[in-house]
Amino acid sequence: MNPEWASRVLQMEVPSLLRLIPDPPETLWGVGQVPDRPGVAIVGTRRCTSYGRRVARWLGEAVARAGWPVISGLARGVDAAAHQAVVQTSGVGVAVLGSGADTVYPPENGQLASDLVATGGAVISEYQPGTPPAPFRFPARNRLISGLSSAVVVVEAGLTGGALITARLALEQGKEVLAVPGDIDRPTSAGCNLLIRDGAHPVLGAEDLINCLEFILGPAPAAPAPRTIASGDTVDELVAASDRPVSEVLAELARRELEGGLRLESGRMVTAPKKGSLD
Amino acid sequence: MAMVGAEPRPVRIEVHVGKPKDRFTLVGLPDTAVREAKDRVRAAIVSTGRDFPHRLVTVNLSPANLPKAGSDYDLPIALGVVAAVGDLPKTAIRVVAAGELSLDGSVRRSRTAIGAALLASQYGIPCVVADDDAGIAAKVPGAVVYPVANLVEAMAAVSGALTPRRPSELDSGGEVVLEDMADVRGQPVARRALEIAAAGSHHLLMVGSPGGGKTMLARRLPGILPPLTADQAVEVACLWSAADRPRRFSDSPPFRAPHHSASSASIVGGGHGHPVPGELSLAHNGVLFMDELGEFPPHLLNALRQPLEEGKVTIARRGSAVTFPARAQVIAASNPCPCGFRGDRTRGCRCTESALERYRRRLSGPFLDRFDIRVFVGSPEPESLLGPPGESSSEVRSRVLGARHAQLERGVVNGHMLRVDLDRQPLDGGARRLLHRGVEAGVLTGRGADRVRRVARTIADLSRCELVAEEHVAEALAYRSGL
Repeated sequence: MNPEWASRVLQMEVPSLLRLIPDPPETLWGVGQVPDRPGVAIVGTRRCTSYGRRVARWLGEAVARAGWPVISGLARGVDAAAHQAVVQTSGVGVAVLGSGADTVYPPENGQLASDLVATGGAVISEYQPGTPPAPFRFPARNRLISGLSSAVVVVEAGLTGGALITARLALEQGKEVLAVPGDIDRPTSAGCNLLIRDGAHPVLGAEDLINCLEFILGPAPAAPAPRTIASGDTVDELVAASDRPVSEVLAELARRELEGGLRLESGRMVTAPKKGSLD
Repeated sequence: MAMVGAEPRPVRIEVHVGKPKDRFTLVGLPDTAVREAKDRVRAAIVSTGRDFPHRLVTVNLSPANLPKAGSDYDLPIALGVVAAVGDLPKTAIRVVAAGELSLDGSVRRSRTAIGAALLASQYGIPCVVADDDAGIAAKVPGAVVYPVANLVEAMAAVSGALTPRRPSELDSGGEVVLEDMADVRGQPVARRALEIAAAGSHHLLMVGSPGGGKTMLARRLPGILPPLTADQAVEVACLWSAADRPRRFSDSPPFRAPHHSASSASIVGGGHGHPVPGELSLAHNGVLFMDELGEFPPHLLNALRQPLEEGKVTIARRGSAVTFPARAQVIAASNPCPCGFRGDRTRGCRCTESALERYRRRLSGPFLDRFDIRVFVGSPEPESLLGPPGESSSEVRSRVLGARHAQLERGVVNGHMLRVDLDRQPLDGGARRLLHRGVEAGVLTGRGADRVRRVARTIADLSRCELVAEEHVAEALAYRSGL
């Protein structure tokens, strides 16, 4: 991790949400601002399939747009996909690390970490800066993920792994657990299917998830963020939704495109692979 | 007078009356129609009550190596013969005349009347044309036009017994009905793109599903363009008459929309024998609309590239080359994919990846590079179709005129700016940084950056800014929609 990031890590006050869990952290370090309203955790296996990644993005975007903070662990796979969607929707996301907040693990998510902070979220850890990532620390940080959330959505999980631990902790903390069903012969969905058999709400789609969350949790805690530019928006919609002149909206889109992540294609913002030229 | 391409060249009629002998020869590369002038001229002169001279009459059309075609030499030859036998004052025959004679001496309308008037005004001498042609000829700035019904009147005119027709003003619009921008509902992005294209004379590509209004928008471009100057209108009139098209003399920019099945010669120009201007030249100083750009054969698109760059078409013929002006603004429309519904709000695209790839390949490349502005035109939102009418053409046009004025003060229209011109355009710090970022991020190529700078300059002109600022570049960046 670069020193610039490390220098931004500060000790924070433990938010009230985390003081309510059975085993609250003693200290908290991090960058950014932890929202004071409960969020929705989106978690899953690091070794996810394209299905898991797609669903994580989809749900992350829906939840962020509905106005709940999205909580996850910034791990590879499902976590990263969910965080990515949040950033692109300009929603609020919190990443809880299993290492010191100055050491983003895996390192390729460093950019994502600073993006999360840039869109109003936070990257936090209960470990002192400088603490290296270690397998035994990950289950412990999972209690913070569920602690910051009022519901935990498991996107893809095998029978063993952190995601099921998070689900169990969530139940212990009295939080809702939801799971995305998958093929019964697919090991990466076995954990989710098991959760559903044991009483977790099956998630049938982004809209279904939002309806379900609103039913369980009541309407989203804060008014949805003002219309931001996200993947899937058409230019005409953005212009119609804005009261600014066309020229300004277009300029905004172009700036957003240069920041990376999104590109304008066939009159619609789409997620861009970071390569190639548009000419 | 002869037309070389769309450019009138003077032809001097020399008449020699020799020893008594009943013979009439005509030299100077006449084609069949010109050679037959002998008989019409003889009959027309007889109809005035004179005898045709019973002498050896030789007429030379000079320069003798320039091929002459058509029947418009009848009138000048007849005047020359009459003058040669002394029936007209020799000083009175410095005129430009064009018109076919009928056997009874009446003067018929001519295809080259505008060219004749143009030459006459260049040489500062009067011009004699048929009554029917006088209206259009008199619109050429500076032309002194004598309308004549027959050879007798023509003789009177050149001897100074008639008064010339007063030069008439340019018609505005007239025969051309311009559709109004108010008819376009919704489509804010496409409207804005069209306005910028009009203001800077940028080539514009609209991509979108069928029924989105691409054609409707394109047809409204002439209505928001600045009116033609008198000189431009003359150029257009010459080209149209060289192509033997209906007469056109108007200050509204021409609009041509060739079908994609049209031959290369009919679009670029050429044809058998005498080269004729193509649609590209008929759209000179105006708009060439290419609907279904993907359907035009690739060789045709290639053939258009150079003329578009140079603003002229050169057609080589055995021993000579003819050049037609061709500074047209191209507006192209294309479906986003073979099935047409990619990116559509309501219907999905059903094209396979490979079909899409083929389609892109066909449309990509150097021809697409010519389009400074590329914009996606989606199907309009239902609410907007029922909503209030859009802003009218006259309002848009007044902004376009303002922006064009600023460009003409700098001396070059933005759409025609080359890199050297661009380098003279000041960018503010933010604009420069944004461009750099685009190039660094791999979003812009060098040529792409030039396009963005041209468009940004026009956007700045529309907002009456001397300096190109960050927001102008940012907006210009949004008009690079690919396929």
